[in-house]
Amino acid sequence: MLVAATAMAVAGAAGGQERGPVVGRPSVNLYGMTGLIDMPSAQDQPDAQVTLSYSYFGETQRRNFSFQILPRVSGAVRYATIDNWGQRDEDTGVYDPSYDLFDRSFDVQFTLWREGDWRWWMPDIALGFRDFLGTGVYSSEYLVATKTVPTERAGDFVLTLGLGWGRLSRVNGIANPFCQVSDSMCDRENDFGEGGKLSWDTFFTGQNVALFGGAEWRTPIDGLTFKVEYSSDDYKREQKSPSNTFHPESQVNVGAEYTIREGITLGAYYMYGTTVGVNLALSANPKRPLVPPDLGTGPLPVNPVPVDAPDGTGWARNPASIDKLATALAEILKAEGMQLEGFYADPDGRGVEVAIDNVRFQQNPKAIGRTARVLQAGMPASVQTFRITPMEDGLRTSTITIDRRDFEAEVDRPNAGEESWESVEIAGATPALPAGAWYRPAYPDFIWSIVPAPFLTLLTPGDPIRLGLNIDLETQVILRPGLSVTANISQPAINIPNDPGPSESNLHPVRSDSPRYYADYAPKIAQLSVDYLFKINESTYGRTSAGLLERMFGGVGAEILWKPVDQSWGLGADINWVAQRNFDDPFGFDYYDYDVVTGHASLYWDTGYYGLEAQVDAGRYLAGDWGGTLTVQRRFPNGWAVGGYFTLTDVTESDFGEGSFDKGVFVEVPFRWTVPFETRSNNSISLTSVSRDGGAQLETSNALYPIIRDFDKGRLGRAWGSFWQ
Amino acid sequence: MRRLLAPVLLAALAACSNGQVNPIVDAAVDEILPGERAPDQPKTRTPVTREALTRADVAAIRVGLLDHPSRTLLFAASENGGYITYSSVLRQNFTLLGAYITGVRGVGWDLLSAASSRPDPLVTPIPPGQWPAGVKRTYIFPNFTPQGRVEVYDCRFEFGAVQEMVVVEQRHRGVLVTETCTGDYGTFENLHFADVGSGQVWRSLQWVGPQQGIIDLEILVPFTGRRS
Repeated sequence: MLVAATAMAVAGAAGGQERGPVVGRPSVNLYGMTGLIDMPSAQDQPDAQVTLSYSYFGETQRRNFSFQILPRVSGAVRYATIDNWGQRDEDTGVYDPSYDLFDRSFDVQFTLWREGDWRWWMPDIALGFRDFLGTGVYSSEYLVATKTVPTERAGDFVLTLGLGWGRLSRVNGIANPFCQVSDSMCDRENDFGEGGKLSWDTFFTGQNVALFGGAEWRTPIDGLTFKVEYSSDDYKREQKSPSNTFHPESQVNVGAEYTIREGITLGAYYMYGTTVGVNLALSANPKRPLVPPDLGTGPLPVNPVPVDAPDGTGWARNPASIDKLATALAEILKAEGMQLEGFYADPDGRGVEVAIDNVRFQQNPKAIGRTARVLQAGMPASVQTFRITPMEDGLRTSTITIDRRDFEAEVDRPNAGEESWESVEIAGATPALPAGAWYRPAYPDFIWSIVPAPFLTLLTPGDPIRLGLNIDLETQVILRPGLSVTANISQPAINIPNDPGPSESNLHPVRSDSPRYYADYAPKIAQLSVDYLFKINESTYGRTSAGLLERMFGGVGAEILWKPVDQSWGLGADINWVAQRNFDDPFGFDYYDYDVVTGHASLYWDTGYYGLEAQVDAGRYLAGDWGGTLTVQRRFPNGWAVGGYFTLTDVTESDFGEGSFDKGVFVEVPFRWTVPFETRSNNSISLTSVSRDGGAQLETSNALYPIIRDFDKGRLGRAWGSFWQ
Repeated sequence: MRRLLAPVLLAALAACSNGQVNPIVDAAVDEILPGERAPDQPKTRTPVTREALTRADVAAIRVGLLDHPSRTLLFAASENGGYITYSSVLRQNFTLLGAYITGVRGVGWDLLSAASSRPDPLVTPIPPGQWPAGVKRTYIFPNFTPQGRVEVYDCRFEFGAVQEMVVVEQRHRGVLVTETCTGDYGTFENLHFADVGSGQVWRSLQWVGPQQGIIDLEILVPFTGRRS
């Protein structure tokens, strides 16, 4: 006789899983891009992979943020420090050999051909642009091929060979073929002034090109990789200063990397025959949460309405019944993570509409699905249609209409996600529930929170990385849905910078003085405003705001947005009259004595391609300059977003200062991605370059488009898989 | 006959807001694991007995993670066309079609749904001698689309020795069946203990996803029909 435990112990030894051929994720080089040691390779990271890395060798430190933008397009933004760069002081003309260079640069790489796309022997082939949008210190282009040679027992060998232009053409160069074709391609200009401009006119120019390459051995020891490369970068400029101690003696670099655990790789190298280098890379993928994503309470089981259930409709015309029903429904929904804001029953008793505020679930379809389950269980048998209207910041967004019989038929069955998506109807919500609706008797409502607000400041000259902590008290009195008074107070707590003093901008310091507003340990009023958000019709939203709108400005403003729910694009406009607040007096405006009328017309477009979104703003900026901003971001249904923007205005490059024009990269990471419970909190990290005054916009905490964005048909569809979760 | 109760309307459901799951599940838990649902009470783990299961008269399963000793008791809470959703006291949900796990909620990594080709001896009991050589299994996992991420596997059965196994005081004589599944995303192996006569699977180690891995499933009281 075998008892269960014994039997299944045997069984346990047999049960198991194996996930396909395991091919290690390519590692990043010292520039943060996929590659060898200092040289690039043609491989890609998995789609959407995000990597933060720090490398150091010789007298160079690089802090890199890289992103696999699309399956065949990757990019990086970098902040490098090069010690003893040496530079002549612009004012005094005195050469300072120990001058340290702080340099921002951007890279992009396109995979032209994937290994095996055509024939098994074809390698990956990529075209890359290093420092194409910076001061040009690392300016180079390359065409590179990489081939993986797997073996049965010895691991994988990855071979790379490339051709470099610009900085990558400096060692054992051969004639640039483009220079042979056109003389204009022979000279390479590397003086980009204030930097930050697209250096397209230098691409593939120069007298020479040079070969680089190398090999990786991904050993059978899990996570261990050895690398060797031949570098075509001579680091000549770095050696110009007499104070510099980095003098390459060899172009061969060797090293080893070890992946300590998924997402953490440490590398050590012997470089250029003279120095030791290190590289620490932290990597993650928005598509793969750090923790099991569903350790919470599962959804309510769904049973169909019994065929013999009484289906009288008198309840729908009885206010007392409605009130009782809505009150009970509110209690159940609250336990499920939704706040019932309003309830309306059609007089014929055949349909109900609920307006819900999702306070728990990161993904909106999950909240909609859970609400539908409660309605299925709790609504009288006569009700055939559920209309669920999610509300966000008091705004009625979209209305999702669910046929009860379809819902009953689809639940728990295969393909329920797709079938439910095809059976629901999504429309813009009406501005209000019909007359006679039940509303949550909770207004005025007071909500507050005290939250630790860690901040990470990157890419600031002289202070490249600063991690600090504020304690934020956020309070809001909601007078009625959409109408609120907000007071946010921030108490600086840990590692707060001192007041750096006034900036030296040629423009009014509308943003260049922003460090002053975050300095020192006195409490700051981050916001004290009255806001009214409202809906004009099914597709049009409005907002008015007055008060201390953000840390640096107070005033009045209004916004309007037209965004039909089934349309991929929308139009908006905002106008504000604002005055600059004192940095050291929460209610003062006299220090700067500056006011401006600012506003923009905006076009929003969800491309539907890999979650890419574009936004164009055109109008007047805080410094009174006129121009436009293009923002492109990739948004994921789980709340991740990675994007970048640039702004061009009528401010001259010299007036703008370093960077020539405003641009930056930002990342939004949902807290939900890192914890095994539901929360709607997000962390935002801005990798904006130095705060400058040209192209500066008002920072509005309740801009309309971000509030309603996730409720249109396209985005609900992308997240609809969570409807049944 | 083991059945589930008809759904209840709002009044009964309102109790769910107090940490309850489902009246059927709650009643069954109270019967079999008294004190388990009581808030702020020290949990005394009462062994599940066959007598209590019989008294509860509700279809029940027990599940656990392969490498974890604890087991969770779940009771049939809803049914749709043969897909039975079992709920635990913490409202972790498993949906089964027969003994085939087609949905998982609340235990870490969700399995949205699953389907298989017919005949599938997990879905409909088939005497071991008449099992097909294999089945095709389709799993759907969360992804950034309405339909989710689909993984398809071809699975082959391999019969082992006839053995006896006790599942909550009930002795079964059955055969161990190894099910090896291969697909574009990898391979995995299930193991089933099927009744030597009827083919009813009483215990099964089933793969429910690349992250969640293998679930140890015991069928304590099979579902036999809806209570009217």
